Amino acid sequence: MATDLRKPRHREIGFARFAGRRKRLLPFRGRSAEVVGLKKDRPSGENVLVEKVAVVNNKYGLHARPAMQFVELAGKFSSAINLVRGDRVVDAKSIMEVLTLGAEPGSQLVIRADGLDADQAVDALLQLVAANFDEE
Amino acid sequence: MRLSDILVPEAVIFDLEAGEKDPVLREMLAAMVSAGRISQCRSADLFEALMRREKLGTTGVGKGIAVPHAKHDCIDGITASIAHSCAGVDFASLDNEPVYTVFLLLASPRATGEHLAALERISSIVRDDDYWRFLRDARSAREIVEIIGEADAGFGD
Repeated sequence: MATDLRKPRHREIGFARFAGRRKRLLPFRGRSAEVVGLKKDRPSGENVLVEKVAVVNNKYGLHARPAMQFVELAGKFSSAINLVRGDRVVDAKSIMEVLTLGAEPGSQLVIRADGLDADQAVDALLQLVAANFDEE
Repeated sequence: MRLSDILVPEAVIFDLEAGEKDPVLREMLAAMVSAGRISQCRSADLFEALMRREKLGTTGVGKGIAVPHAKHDCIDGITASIAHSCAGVDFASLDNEPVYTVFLLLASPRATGEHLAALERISSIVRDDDYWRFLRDARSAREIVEIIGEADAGFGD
């Protein structure tokens, strides 16, 4: 029956997509941003995992325009970047995925980057959120 | 939020005549007028508001999807329509690809939570490759409405 074919498979797809990463990231779970954001004096040219908590404080939340600004900025970094809200993990470089978070004002998001420029990426993205996406 | 609850089925367009952003938005607003959801005199204001928003940055988010939206006092709560294009629409999308499915959102300036929730539902639907393909391959307005209903049932409230 056609309706059976249309059964949503998003959960499995979503899990498969992030399963590998989730496993790798597991040791970092529950630790504070400072612990995960590694020491400043480490040698450069090294892959690092950095995550920090951002609180959405602009007037209307992470709607289309701020989401687009976020994705655009994330795209400038080579690191893999995820945005985490509760148990949902999305690719911070995909506008479609970021919008699925529906992050309203006051919501907490974890910005998590893994790569050579992870520090810079997380700081830049955090700054964008903290500046309320330059909205009036 | 269930998209079905805010979707105006009578305003859903199966095959857009227009191939560019401006006339597409006019066509969708005209369908909303015909469906009795907005008045003729307001559609001009809404068109201006939609175009103002597009000037801030395209709502063509890629993957053949666009989500034009505007807030206006003449709208009570939030309302939505969908238009499908067989030929594709030039929406100046982020990925420079033509758009095949347009979700129009019109909201009261006070309905900001609903607006965010509607964006969340729409992006969840089109992020799903199955629903995305069903919408793209839809062959009638009625089928589009049914797909949204099935997606809502799949995602829950």
